Amino acid sequence: MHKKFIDKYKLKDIEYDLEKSFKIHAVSSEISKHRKKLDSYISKYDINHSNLFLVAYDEIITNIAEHSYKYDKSKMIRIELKIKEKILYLEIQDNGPAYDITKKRAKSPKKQFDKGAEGGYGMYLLKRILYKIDYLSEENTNYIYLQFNAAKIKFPVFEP
Amino acid sequence: MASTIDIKLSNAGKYQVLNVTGKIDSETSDKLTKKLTEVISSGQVNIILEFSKVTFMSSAGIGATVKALNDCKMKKGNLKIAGIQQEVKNVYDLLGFSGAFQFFATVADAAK
Repeated sequence: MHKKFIDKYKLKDIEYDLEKSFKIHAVSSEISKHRKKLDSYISKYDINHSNLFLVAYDEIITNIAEHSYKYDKSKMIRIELKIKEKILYLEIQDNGPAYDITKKRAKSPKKQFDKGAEGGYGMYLLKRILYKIDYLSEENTNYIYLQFNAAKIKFPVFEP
Repeated sequence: MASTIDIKLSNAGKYQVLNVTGKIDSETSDKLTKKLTEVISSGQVNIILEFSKVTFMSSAGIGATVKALNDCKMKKGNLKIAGIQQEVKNVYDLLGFSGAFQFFATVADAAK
């Protein structure tokens, strides 16, 4: 994991329950296959709302594959997963164009719904699901840091 | 193995039921969208999505159901969801869509 994230989020010296690294090709079939693999690891740790974590993970990886890599199967996405006491820590690396996902505005789901829009829900979901999301770009590599803590998820009370 | 979804059609009263099995993500949501478009274009604008065997739904899947609900309502019809697992419904809840869609335990309940 990038040193800047380790320092910022005080991740040094943590004895993780699980540490795994993966590399996947930037194609839909590998994304869904890998999501299933991730689920099999996570399921051993009794993580609440793990399905929501997989939704967020799927959103970010798909965005990279689609927008940064245009589903070029020769491109790789590297993923580092760590688990400690039901909190998930993830770092995702790619070598596509620099794009700070944390600065992307989340569209109002109500407005999207009222338009009958098929898209535009992902960013809002990410911000609701993830406890922390961070980004840095260095030497042609993008690093996205995610932290998932089910206890921090707040379900909204508004209804369209 | 890549994601797949299976969609079987059935009827419940005036409703066309789409019985969906699998994971709805960016790889498979197009298949759901295509089937919904076919059904709605054929004039069937009262739809029940039977989701008891749907084990994952990404934002792409949500989008497909939002569009279909909108298309049905524009044609004076309706779209309901039956049997959805709570882990999947959580995605609708997070978006604040719990009241926008009608959720039922079973197709029979939805078709009343």
